[in-house]
Amino acid sequence: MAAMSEADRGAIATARARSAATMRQWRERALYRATGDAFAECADCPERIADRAERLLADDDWAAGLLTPLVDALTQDPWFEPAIKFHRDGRRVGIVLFDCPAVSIAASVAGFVAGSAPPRTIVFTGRRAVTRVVKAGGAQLQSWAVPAEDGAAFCRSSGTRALEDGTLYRTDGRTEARMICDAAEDVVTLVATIRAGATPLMREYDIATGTLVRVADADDRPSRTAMLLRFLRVAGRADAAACFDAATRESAFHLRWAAMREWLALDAARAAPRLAEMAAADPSAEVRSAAAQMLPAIHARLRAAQCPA
Amino acid sequence: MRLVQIDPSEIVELDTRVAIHGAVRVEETSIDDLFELLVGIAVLIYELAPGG
Repeated sequence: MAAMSEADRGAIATARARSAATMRQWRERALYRATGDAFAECADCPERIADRAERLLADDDWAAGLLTPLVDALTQDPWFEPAIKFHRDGRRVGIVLFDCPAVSIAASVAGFVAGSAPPRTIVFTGRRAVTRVVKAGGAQLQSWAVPAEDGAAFCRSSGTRALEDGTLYRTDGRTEARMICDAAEDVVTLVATIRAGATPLMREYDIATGTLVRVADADDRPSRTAMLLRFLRVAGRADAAACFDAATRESAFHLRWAAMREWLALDAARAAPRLAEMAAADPSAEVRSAAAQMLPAIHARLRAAQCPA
Repeated sequence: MRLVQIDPSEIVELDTRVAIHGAVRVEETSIDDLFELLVGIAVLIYELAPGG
């Protein structure tokens, strides 16, 4: 691989400051600020956010208005580096056009690949979303449903319909899943994903049988916390009792029990009083049941440890 | 006083088994195995350079 020239290194270094200034100006533009204002007063109300997102996405000029200054900046300066999030996987590439505590709006192009195998699973994201199909590419929209937002062992197909350029639709990812498929050309979409009212878990189902394949954290924070707690346990940090105790009081039920499991594995005597509290009063029936099941065994182990051999 | 430690295999799991964030549509790799590996590496580094 050819080494980068000193001139190019210098150009990249100076371009960073220019890029940062361009992005600041971009976020100060009237369109970007108006978009933020539209969501500022309704961050906790998913229905109102969805209404406002639908109005924005229905506006033919909104996305172009945000993108054009960035495209112009790239045209004028090949070293310009837009400070926006990019997503790329085997099926699509996308950028996050707008992001605030209420909503994240992304533009994506799903590449048409002749003969590519369709996905074997469908994901219920747990979040509400509004989608505008900018270019339908001759694709179909397949839908699936589950009866309740707290999950079900099976999902069922709820229909397929043809997409057209400009189609707008909502998805309640707690009980609905959708997939764009059978495209003849690339498909371009704008998707507003709403944070308020989301469930903490994503659920993945097998398309052929409808059976639940796996459940995963929709948010990375409980996963990171659980990993760090396991690290503390493996590292023998019994002095970190406050960290384990705090995590057993988190909002995510699975994190509360994961924290208690690590604590019991590290220092059962310190964990036991909190285990008793969870058995009696944890908000989750699953956690209460697990704690109640463990309580007699833990007390027996602690008594045995106190007895002289 | 010596700590009373419970083997994780003796501690019940919830009925709802929750994989870590990012595990959806990852079928080829066992994420838990991968994590144990990463923790092992982290512990090794921690033991080698506890103040580093």
